[in-house]
Amino acid sequence: MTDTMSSHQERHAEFMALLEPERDALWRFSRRMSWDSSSAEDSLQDAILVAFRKFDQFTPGTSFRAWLFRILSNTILNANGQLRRSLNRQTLTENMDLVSALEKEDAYGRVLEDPEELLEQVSEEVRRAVKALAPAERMVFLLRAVEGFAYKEISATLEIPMGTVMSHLFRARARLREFLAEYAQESGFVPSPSA
Amino acid sequence: MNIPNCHQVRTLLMAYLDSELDATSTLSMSEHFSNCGECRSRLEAERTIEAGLVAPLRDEAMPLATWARLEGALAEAAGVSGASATQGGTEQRITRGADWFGRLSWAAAAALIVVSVTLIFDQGEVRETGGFDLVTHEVVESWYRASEGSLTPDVQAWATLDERLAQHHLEDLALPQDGIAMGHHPLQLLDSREVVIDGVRGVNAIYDCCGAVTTVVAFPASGLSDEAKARLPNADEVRAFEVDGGLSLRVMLRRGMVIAVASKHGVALADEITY
Repeated sequence: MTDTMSSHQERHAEFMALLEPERDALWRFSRRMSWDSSSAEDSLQDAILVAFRKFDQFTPGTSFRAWLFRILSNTILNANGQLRRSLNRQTLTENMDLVSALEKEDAYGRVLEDPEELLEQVSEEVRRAVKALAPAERMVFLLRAVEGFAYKEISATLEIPMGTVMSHLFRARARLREFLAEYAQESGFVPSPSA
Repeated sequence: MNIPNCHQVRTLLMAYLDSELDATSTLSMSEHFSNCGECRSRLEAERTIEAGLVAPLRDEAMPLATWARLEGALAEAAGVSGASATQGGTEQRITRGADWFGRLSWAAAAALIVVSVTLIFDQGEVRETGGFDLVTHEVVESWYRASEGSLTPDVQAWATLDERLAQHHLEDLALPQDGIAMGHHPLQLLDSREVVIDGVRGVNAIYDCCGAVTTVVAFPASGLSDEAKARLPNADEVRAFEVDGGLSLRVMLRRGMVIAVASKHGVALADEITY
């Protein structure tokens, strides 16, 4: 009995030691994929409890972080069938040049000339723009750009082809740059076409 | 090695920045950048923009209260008694005390408290709060976490600025000072400060409650607009209760659970109040 308790405690301690460094990353991903803090916490708690129950299945030496994100992503997708369907939808993108894909190509071109000053002003607006992305695009963008996962890892995590990962990512980036160009025009950072 | 032209380079630009190209393509792209100033400028600008877009998304830390609840749930799943938990890198024991909320741990119960009190207090002389107009528990917790258990010099400076007003509000809003117990559990006042939401002044008191950081945000409810209430953290629901001989309280609920309310005798536990 004492040995069993000790084993449980060791397993718990080991899991906690691996989980702790990932807590902020898991939280911000869950937060940005959920309606509010409450549902973000629900998803996160569900995912972490699943991970703990399946901890025996985790292969030591592989990435615990990727394993956790896979479980968390699945939890979010299981709770949102519409998101799963949109994630799997074929989104072929032939032209992967960001600038030429934008409606406000000229304005974005001006942003590219000196982006630092504009970016200093837009932190809150960026968060809103990311929130406004289509969920599938947001999910892939967050995994790649914020959490640093490789395309291949995202493909495995979300169980979608690499090409689909790249398409979602491209669209997300194009929309965010479109937002920057709009913001730059509205704030007078670059002249609007009518000016 | 085929050196790509400018159009091909721009098509592969983001994949290059993501380090997703194979070695040959990466080399040929690098070769192009070393010879083409225009594409090199574009590369640097896109790198800057990508970093600028991502930076605001990386600065959000998990609230301590959320971590405490996760720890509690995991400890319960593991059957680890006493819920020995670690918070923010500091070894702090969260005791599972009386079972106030059924299976919820004390850490969960103490984690998030947002109380709005129907008391009109004398606003007296007021000063600006150093540029902050809304302090949520998440802000406070991020400060607390960054300080690894002790408040940072910046926070202390700000607390000093509004110390008199905060003490004034603590008394008027009947929030506990040092040494006043919350139920059977001691609360230690770590810090308090004036909080202003939409011009209405309240107080944000930060307590150490059995190792968990607990914040109480108290306002005269009559002065707070619905919009302002909606901006308060975790204000899932607001209800009015009559407590202590007619004192009317508005209690913010966390996921349908009454955590605590404020009364003229200090913060009281939900199950100690008849309503």
